[in-house]
Amino acid sequence: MLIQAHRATSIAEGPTLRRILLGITLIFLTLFLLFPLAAVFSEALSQGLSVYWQAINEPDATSAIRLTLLVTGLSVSLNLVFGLCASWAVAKFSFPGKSLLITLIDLPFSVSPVISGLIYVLLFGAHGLFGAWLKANDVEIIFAVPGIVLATVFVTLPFVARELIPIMEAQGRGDEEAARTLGASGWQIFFRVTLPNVKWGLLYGVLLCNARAMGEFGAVSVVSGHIRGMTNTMPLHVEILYNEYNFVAAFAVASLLALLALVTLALKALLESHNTNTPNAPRL
Amino acid sequence: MRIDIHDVYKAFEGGSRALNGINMTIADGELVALLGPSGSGKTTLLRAIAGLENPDHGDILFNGGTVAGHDVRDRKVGFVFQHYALFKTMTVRKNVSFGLSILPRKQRPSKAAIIARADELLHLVQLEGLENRYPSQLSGGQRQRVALARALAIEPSVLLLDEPFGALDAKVRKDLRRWLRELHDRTGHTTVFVTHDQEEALELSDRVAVIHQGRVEHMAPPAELYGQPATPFVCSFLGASNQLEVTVSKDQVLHCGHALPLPRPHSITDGPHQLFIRPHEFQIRSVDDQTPGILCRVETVRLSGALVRIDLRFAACGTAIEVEVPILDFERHPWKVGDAAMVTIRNVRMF
Repeated sequence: MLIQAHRATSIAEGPTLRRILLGITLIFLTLFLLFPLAAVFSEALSQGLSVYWQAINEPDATSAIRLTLLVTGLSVSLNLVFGLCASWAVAKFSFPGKSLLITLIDLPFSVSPVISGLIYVLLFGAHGLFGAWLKANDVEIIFAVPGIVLATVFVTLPFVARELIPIMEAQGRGDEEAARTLGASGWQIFFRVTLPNVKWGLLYGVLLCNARAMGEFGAVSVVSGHIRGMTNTMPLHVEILYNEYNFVAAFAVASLLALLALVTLALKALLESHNTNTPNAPRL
Repeated sequence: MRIDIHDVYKAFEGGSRALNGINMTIADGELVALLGPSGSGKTTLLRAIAGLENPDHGDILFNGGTVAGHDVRDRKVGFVFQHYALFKTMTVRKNVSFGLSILPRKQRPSKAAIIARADELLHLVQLEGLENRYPSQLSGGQRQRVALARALAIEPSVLLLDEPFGALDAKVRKDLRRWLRELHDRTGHTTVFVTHDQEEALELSDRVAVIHQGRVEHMAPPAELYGQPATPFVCSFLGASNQLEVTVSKDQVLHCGHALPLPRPHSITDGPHQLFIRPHEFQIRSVDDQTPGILCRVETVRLSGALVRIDLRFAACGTAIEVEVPILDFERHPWKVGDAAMVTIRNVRMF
């Protein structure tokens, strides 16, 4: 009662407070998000559309775009499979070392991306643990596409699993057991019961994973070697162009990345509204 | 279908014994309640019958054949889960037809036949018109009936229900209980349900198995269970009872100097025993009635519907008892706190 009364008065005092809070929020958003975003696009388009088009259509840029899409596609798929396996194992079974596993899944979040990249250099680089063997067998990992994929997978590892574990834990084993008593096989249970139950969370995790995979700079920078047209991803390409004072081209490629991020955000918002607004849709 | 359970043991991780040597036989078409306090092992037993738990020891037979090693999928049990476990991404009709739609192509009925069967079951559980709803749009009682229809769709040989009315409010509970009994009588499935509600067990089932610490304490028709409980646990678990420490010597039952009646028939050895008396098995009269009995003093009087509960204390030694008197008797003699009363005992159970 006391708390409610208190809240009521604070709401009554609201208008001023609300304006101040909203004002601060808007100023921050404008300064740190909208201005930079607008700057990216205005700089990219400062010399007209044809220059913009040339900048993103030149061979090194298209190669960077292709590589980014390839790396993203591979690492998101790998993490989709890993995330499903890990969350299923954690949520539906009990085994020793479960909490350790959950902590390990979080590790990439707490490690600096540069270190994530260095781990792979230490393992697979020329002077690394497996370096000699890899060289003898003519397998290239560091300064090649496999290294970039490895580093990206590592950095984006937690997204899908983190999203799914709480959902699956909340749902428990009841639905799966019910399906079993009704005669369903393991695959039927997975595709007809478990997957539909977590599909929105899964999509959400994939989107986040996707956004991070496309934008990853630090870890990829360490293992890529920045070879133009070969091992340059979009974020690395932006940096190279920028360091060469080729601002228009740098911002043109950056604007593409920003666009991809905006599309991801829009999809995410769409997913969320679908989850809460459609009366017929099952809630998560 | 007849179910035989032979000497079934089940221990959980950490070593706690959930089932501790269960033996019982459930006849074809019987409606049996597994009744017990929480943690007694009743749900584990139900899950073991379904095949959701594997016993460590012992055997479960369906119609005389062992089902050990038969997966849940192959046992054809209709299982209704405590919280229904409806598939929330599917409509009511899809839920009910799930068991048929996953059959191998050769055994699977046509789409139209599956829908027809689902709608027929929804008619049976009185849910026509809700076919296209999602579980989140249904009330608890409706979900319960969808779960039942879904379980019946696979034409199970036995129907198993885990706390079927546990999550419902009192009114819906009563209606569904009666309705389930009617459904059972109509369809004739062997039905086993778990409950911790003794009223539910006694009212609904042909026989009740009282489970305690992983064992069957007593399995009998409700009237026998209540009237002639086999163990002290069953006696104190089912309904209220007064428990007195007594000494038996030479066919005399003594409690603080009073001679109490012997149970009949009896095979009681001399020595200390426990006497159980139901609150309605006492008779209380005024002291000036000249009848023999135990002199008591009235401590509290509580009205509870058609009954009046009176707490009394033995004048000689202070033993407290609770007595139930029909309201009509009470109106003839309205007892007040502090009154002296003569108490006689009509019926007892002794262990």
